Amino acid sequence: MVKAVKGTFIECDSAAREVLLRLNSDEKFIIEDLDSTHLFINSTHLKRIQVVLDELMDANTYKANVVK
Amino acid sequence: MAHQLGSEEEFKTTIADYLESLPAQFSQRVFSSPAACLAIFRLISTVGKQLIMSMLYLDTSLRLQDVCQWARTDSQRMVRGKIHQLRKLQLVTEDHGNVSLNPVFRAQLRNALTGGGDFSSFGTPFKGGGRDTRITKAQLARYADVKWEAMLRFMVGRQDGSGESVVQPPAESVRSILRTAKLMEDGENGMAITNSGFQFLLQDTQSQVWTVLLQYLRQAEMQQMDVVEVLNFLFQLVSLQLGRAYSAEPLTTIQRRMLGELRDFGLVLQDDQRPMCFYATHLVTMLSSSSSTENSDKSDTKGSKALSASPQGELAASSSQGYIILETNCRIYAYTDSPLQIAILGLFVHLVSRFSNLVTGALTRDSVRQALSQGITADQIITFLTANAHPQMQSHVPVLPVTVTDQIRLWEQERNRLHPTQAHFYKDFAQKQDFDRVLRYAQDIGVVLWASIEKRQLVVTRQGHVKIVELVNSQRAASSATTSS
Repeated sequence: MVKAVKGTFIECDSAAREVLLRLNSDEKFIIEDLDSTHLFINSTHLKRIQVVLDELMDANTYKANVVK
Repeated sequence: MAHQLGSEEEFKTTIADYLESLPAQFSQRVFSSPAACLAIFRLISTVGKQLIMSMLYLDTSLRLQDVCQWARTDSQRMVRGKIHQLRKLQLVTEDHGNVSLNPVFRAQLRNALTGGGDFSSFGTPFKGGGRDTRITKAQLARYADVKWEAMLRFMVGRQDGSGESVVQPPAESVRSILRTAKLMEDGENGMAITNSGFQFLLQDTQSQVWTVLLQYLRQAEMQQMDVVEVLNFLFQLVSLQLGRAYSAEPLTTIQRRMLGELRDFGLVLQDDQRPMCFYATHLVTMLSSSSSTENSDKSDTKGSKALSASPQGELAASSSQGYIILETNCRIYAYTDSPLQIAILGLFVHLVSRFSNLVTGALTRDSVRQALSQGITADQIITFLTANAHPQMQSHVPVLPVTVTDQIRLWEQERNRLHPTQAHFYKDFAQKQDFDRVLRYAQDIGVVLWASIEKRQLVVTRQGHVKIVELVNSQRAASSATTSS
């Protein structure tokens, strides 16, 4: 029988997807891993993962120390 | 991203949008002044002008098809579109496929061009005579710049937070406009700048003046002032000559009140010794110049995009005071001592050192991200830097180093790596034909976000889900009806 699930469809690059998959291992929010650039997730977690992703990306950015 | 688009919507920078929104009887009254007709005519795109000119001295109406024949076959669609725009502005009327100019507009534009009718709508010169040496153009320019910069300084100054030089707050009329335009809002300690305010700061002066004037119109509407009188006076202002004294005596009470308020913006100057005498400054007289035509044309076609898209003509015009040098390594050198310009640069540049006529700094990821988080877009930063590039840089094509502009855009993209959409996910279809039927229906109504035929899975939008449920239910009802009968 067909199942319909309500949630949020996410289009992202594969790097961001990897981060999301890792976050998912701590707390499950991914309903379905569609393909390498698409995920289907629980809507309630959207705000939180956007923030976490932003923080992670920030922490992993190399800042050139040109300005003194 | 959504809030940025919203604020762009608020910035309907062209007067054309406003005119379109006016009810018919208002437009008729606006058109009754030759000055208004001429000002509107100047604002219309070249093709629109051509069409109006061709119809101006025709007393009968034309068939729309014939009008389209004026253009080559490949441009007829464009002409049709223009006619439609002119109709929305109520300059052209259409009746059973026949088009003609709005009779009031036609009569008054003829008057404006040939010098008949009520010519006082172009402003009555002050009795003192044609030659007036008391206030020179240079004085007017200085006055306008001081007032306008004071307002912009007030907008950035508060955000700075350093109590080093407290900016004198401008007059109440200015503050109330800034507030109703949502460029600033009342915070805990005085007024604070908003996202739209930041975007406003990066616009060229002309768009800024339009924004303020449009806001003035809206506020006038809210205060139950007669919009037609306000509009007519604004159109009169833009047709005034720079450096000439005009008399305020023929003006109505509302218009005199406007004079007092617009003075606070530096748009007009009133002579203290002669209260019935006023001058228009370059801030208003430049509005109906040719570069604004391109602006309104662009926004005609692209709607709310007007604010970020600054036409080339304008860039060239303002290049005379270009002061920014941007290197490929993101370093910035700005030859300026204006606190306003430095404050604006400070919005998205990491400033390092300041000399008497030079500030240096660099575009860094953090400084640009901070600007982005305040609602400024990458395009606005790039447009601003291009518009104010040093003459030395203007000779380069493109003006800014591509590496830097690309980097700014990348920083912007980086902020939205996820593109979320509210959706419904279907899985576990028992039969392939069920899946195919739903998929085909969803494709027909254009609601498919993602689909995998191998996995028999499908993602559709929220609206699509409702429709699909309806389809499935109706089919189920139909099939049960056939089995029962």
